[in-house]
Amino acid sequence: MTYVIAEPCIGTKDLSCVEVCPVDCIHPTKEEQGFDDEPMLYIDPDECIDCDACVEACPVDACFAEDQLPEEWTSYIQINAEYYGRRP
Amino acid sequence: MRALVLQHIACEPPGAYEDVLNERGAALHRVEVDAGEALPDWREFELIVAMGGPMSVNDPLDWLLAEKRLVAEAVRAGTPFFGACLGAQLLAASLGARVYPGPAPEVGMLAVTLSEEALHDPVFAGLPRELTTLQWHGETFELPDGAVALASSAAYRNQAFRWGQRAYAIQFHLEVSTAMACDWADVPAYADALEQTLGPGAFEALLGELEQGAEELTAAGRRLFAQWLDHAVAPSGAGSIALP
Repeated sequence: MTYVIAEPCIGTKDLSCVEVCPVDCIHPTKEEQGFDDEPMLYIDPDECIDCDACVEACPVDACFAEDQLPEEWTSYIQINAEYYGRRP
Repeated sequence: MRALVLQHIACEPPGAYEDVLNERGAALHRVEVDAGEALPDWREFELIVAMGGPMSVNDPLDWLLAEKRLVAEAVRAGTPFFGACLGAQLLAASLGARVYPGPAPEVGMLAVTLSEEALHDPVFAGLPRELTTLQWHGETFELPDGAVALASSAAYRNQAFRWGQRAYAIQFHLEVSTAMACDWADVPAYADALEQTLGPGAFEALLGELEQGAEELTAAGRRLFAQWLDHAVAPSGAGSIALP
């Protein structure tokens, strides 16, 4: 399983999740190229360790365990993976 | 019994815990993670012991990210894990809990109080409710979801926890000999924490206290660790292990 960032992040990019992620698997960070251009943040499905820290940290409830993801946002599994050039 | 020992500075080996492992004939695979030694596949080991170090688990170091990933995967798969000091904080961080600097370092021969749950915990069984420990840390942690708190101190509420039946985290030291403590006093970060807390020249007094209490300290450490091996690593009637 992995965790997924969904629609509420669009335009928010609060970065609280980046701050708490113990394995730095959420990008782009503010310092990284592309931060201003990306509409949201993404979780690297290969690096995520399922710790749940981002879920509690997110102020707009955009982070979900994959199996808890609301049905209307299941496309974000692919959207997160594709940011890292991966297929879910 | 193959044991993976994760070290984060050469002068913090498992000490009394290592003695118990050796007495039981364990094959130790020691990785000095901070020195760039490669992390092996955790699936090749029956247990993992993670020890202390002067860094923070939050430091942006590639090897720390890899180590947290290893700990998270191994513990979630049910591999027995025993973390001391930084090793305890590694477990907390790997399970999504916040690790952060406390208001002041906690250093010295100091008591921790075992929780009600610890009194019924097979790994803590028989240890005194007020346990004298060696403390030498500046960061602390919140409890991960599903963890059971096992000990607290006057300065820091979270001193020990278990997660599931096999993963134990112990902030304090029960494994340390006076020789090890002398080596620690030479580590700049540790010496700073000591002076900041106890004042200049405090190490001699601390060493005297440790010399007096070392036998009792390591006896408690040996008991704790042996009971962890008995109950978390090789439980009788081992079957499915419930994880939170």
